[in-house]
This record gives sequence, C-alpha cells and structure tokens, in this order.
Amino acid sequence: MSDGRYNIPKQYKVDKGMPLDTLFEKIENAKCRRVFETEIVSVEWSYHLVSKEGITNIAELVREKGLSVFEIKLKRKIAPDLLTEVFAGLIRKPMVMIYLCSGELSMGIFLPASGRTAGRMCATDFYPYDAERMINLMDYELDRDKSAEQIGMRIFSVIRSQKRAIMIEKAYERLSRESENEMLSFEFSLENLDKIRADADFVQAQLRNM
Amino acid sequence: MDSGITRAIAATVLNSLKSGVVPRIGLEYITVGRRNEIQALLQDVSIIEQGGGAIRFIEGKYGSGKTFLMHALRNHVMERNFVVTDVELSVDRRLVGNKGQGLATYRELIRNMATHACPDNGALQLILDKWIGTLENEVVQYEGLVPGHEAFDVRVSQKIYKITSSMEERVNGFDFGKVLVSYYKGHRTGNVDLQKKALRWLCGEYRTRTEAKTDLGVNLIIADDNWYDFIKLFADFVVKAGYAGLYVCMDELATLYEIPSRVGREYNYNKLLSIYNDVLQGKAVHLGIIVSVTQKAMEDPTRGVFSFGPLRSRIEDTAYLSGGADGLRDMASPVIKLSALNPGEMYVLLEKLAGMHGILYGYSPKLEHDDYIYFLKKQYQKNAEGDEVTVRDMIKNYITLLNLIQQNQEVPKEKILRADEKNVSHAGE
Repeated sequence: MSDGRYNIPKQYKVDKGMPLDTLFEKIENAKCRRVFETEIVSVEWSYHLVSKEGITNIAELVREKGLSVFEIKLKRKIAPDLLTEVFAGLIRKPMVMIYLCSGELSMGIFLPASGRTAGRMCATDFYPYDAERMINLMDYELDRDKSAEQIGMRIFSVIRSQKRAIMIEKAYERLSRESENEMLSFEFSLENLDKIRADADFVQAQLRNM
Repeated sequence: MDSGITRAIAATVLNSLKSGVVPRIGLEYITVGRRNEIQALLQDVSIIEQGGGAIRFIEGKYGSGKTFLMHALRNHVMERNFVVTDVELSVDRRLVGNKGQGLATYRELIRNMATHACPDNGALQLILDKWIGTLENEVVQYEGLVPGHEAFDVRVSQKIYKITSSMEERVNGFDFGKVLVSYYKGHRTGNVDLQKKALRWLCGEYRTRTEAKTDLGVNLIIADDNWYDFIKLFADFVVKAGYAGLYVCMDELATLYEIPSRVGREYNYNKLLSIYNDVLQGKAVHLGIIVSVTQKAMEDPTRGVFSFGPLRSRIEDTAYLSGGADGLRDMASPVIKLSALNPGEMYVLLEKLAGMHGILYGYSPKLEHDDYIYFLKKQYQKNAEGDEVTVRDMIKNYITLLNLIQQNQEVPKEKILRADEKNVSHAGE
C-alpha cells in the first residue's frame, strides 16, 4: 500500500497495527511493561517517509530507511517523555510518535545516532487537539526535495519549540488556576460572605428607610 | 432572609429575573455588593432634596446591573416623596432628532411620571390635582374658609398665581405657569375640556403654536429644542406641589452611540452636555438625572460619548484614577463604573434568591454551601471557556435550577445540579 502524492521525498501510508504483546515483551522493566500493557490501546504505524521514489509494495517500503510516524492511543495519560524513550528502545529507528488520549494529543520524536550526530529525543506535553496548535508533520513547501533525514531534523526542531511553548502555557494555566482557587477560597470564606451579607443588609435598610 | 417579603413581591422578582428583565419592585431585597454605589447615589438624593441637582452616569457591561441599580434608586426615591420618571432611549427616542425624537423622549418622561401614590406611571394629573387640593386644604385649614365661600376661590387662585408667577423668571416659565393656571381654571369651573387641553400641552402634544394660542392663550409649545427646559420647570413645580423633587432615569444611552450619522450623534451629545452643565452648575433645582450607558458607548473614541470632546473632558477619569491610584474608585465622579459582582457577592445573591423562592412556593430550599459554590464555579468556568455569561444569564440559569429542584423534590438535587454538565459533555461528544 503506497501513496506517492507529493513531489518530495515520498510519504507512504503504511496503516499497520502493531502486535502489542510481542512489542511489549521486549520491555525489560516489569513495572514499565505492566504500565504499557495496561494503558496503551493501540499502536499504529501510519506513515513512512522515505527518500526513494516509486515504491510499489509495503514489503519494500518497510525495508527502506526513513522516518516512521506512529499513532498511539492511550487509555490514560502517561508522561510523553517516558513513552518516547521506551518506544525508542523498542523500535530503534527514526520515528515521530503521536500520542492520543481524552481528546488531547502529544508528539514525540526519536532520531537515533547517525554517523555525525548524536541521537535525539524530544516530546511535548499533552495539549488540546486544535488546528491552531497542530504541529504540521509535513510542510510541502519546506520539505520539497529534502531527504527523510532532513525532514526528521526539521520536525525535531518544531516539536522542541512546541514543547517549550506548551510547557510555558501549562505552567501559566497552573499559576492562574492556583491564584483563582486562592481567590475563590477567599471569596467563599465564611468571613467574607458574612461581610457581604452585612453590607447587603445595610443597603437594604437604607433603601427601605424613608 | 429579612421579613417583609410577600409572596407577591417574591413572584414579581423571580418571574422578572427569570425572563431577564429587572423587576419593578422588591429590588432592595436582592441588592448585593453595591454598597458604595448606593451610598453615592443616596448622597445625590439628599442634595436634590435640599434644592440641588445631580447627574450620574452608570457605566457597565450589558447585564451587569445598570438598570437594576436605576430601578432600585427609582423605587427608593419614590418612597422618599419624589416624583420619578424614566425613559428607555431608542431609535425613536433620543435627546434630539430631526423627526421629533427629542420630543418623543419628553412625552415618554411625562407619561412615565410616578409617585408613591401612583407608582405605575401616569401620575401627572394626580400631581396637578394634589397640588390644587393641597392649596385648597391650606385655605380651609389656615384661613377658615370653606369651599363655596365667596372668598374661597379668590384665596386659592391667589396662591396658585403666587406659585406660577414665581416660575415666570425661569426660561419658558411664563407659559408653563399660564397653562397650570388654565388647568386650575378648568378644575374650579368644572371645565374638563380645558383641563384636558392643559394636560395635552404639558404632555407636549400640541403640534402648532396657533392651536396652543387658541386653546390656552400661550405662544409656545413644547418641542424638540426646548423640552429639557420643561423638565427643569417640572422639577421646580413638583416641589411647589409638595414633592421632594424630580428624579429622571434614562436607560440605554448606548442608543446615541448607534446613531449612524456623526452630525446626529454630536447634536445629541451636545444636548447631553447642556443637561450636564445645567444640572451641575445649579441651574436645575431639585432635579436628579441618572443615565445608564455601556462602557463601549461611553468610552469609544470614535462614536461614544468620549468622541465629543467637551463631554469627555468633563466626565473622563482624572490622571489620579487612570494612573497611580488605579484600583481606587472616586464615588463622587459623575461616572459610576459598575464592576461585575464578584463570586462572594454572587453567592449571597443566590442565597437571597433561594430564600425568595422558598417564600413563593412555601418550602425550604435544599441548596447548601457547596451547591452554591458548585453552581458558581460552573458559571465562571463557562466564562473562562469564552462564553460570555453575565450576571443576568447566571440568575436566569439559577432560577431555572431552583424551579427544577422545587418541582422534582424526589430527584436528588446533585443530579439536577450536574445536569448541565451532562449537556456540555454530550455536546462535546
């Protein structure tokens, strides 16, 4: 199954579900294996970006070196860094991981060490699934005539900058939530409510006094 | 819950709020979190009682409680023996306009005059009759003359003329006094037709001077360009008729902001400026004016009140308020900015409404501390998610909730409280 729609290093649709039992058997840490077995619903190898054109069958495609895109559905949120690290250890090839859970998504990337560069890994926190914050895996203008490795580097830098933005946003949300909770706990304190009641009674008395 | 709330008051308040409109009565029982504003406005009322004038702009978002505050004041001053009147400005009712919109505002104000004895508008005739009746009583009480005595009418007439002539020095006061005398003449001679003509004139319903001259012998009619002079004359007159003053409520000044032509807007703002100057310079006595306006209609520099330089320079916050003393409020400023009720104030309001609901339906509302907090957090959460939820919306939702809980007492209240959460998640799915 392949799809040669773009005039860039080819993005082929793989659409192949992983046999999870076999995959997770390789996880050495028993606790980690248990977490993965319990919380991961499915792992789907969705796309494979390769530099070579004209691939006609899936067997040839999966043998070709490139950048794989996996979509992982989760029952509950697990730290994306942990997920990426463990999947990197299991699959050991360049890959982008898209984690989906409760209407939110997170993205991770692993680029193993090549001749000149050290291995790289990065993952964003979960964030609401919306078009504005969607990370574009493919940028057809930028990626024209680029190799799969170059595309991997670009996606890595996008994910890393998104990670920072999402971290800041989450920290800010937490801060707002904390200050809002503080404010509300003051607002609904018996002391404050009594003061407001007394003020209201005073106003009522004034409005009723002729 | 304070005593004094009857089932009728509770029904009026809850039904009005449920429909998103401000009730006419019972507002004092649910006024929460407006202590400073009410204090400032009551201070104005004292000044008006003592012969001064006051004008205030109540600025706030839609649904923030501007009309509520105005009506609360209206009811209060009515009980303090004021004549009150109100008008909702609209496309057809402005301060000035080329199709008689200013006069239409005046007519509405006269039509909506109300007093303690006649709280539901249409009090003009009653005011006039009370005035004449009071003078007749004085003649009976202090001069020992009884109706029918040959000197009785003369003495009453003398008193009437004394009052009307004291108004002659005011702008248009001569004609105004003359019409009052005509009304009295009609009263004395049983000429109902003459009384009606005088009332018609006072209501601004004469279209031509000729007609007014023929019917009442006056050379003037109330029109777009002079109607405000007659409001001032009424303020003066009602005090002479035994009232404490005239209190005018103008709602929806935002209508002026919506006038499409710049010239039209400026004419109206100019009129507002002359009213403002008049009242604050002491030219208007015993007159209070309260105007509600949205923040945008006030502060928009291109179309709002602030687009008119002379008004802006008079009513804009000074550097102290807009700068270093930010967060502090000057309640003596002509503009009272209504902030949204804070969560604690909303909580107390919910308590009060629950109490009223209990009085109306004869039960004890089951809502507790945590339920109020839960409800409010849900409402504020909607705001945080981008849905604009005003106090008005929250109250509507809350009264619906109270109704559901009262009507379905066999259903656990938690289930009803969380019903809206279910709707949200269904919508999300």
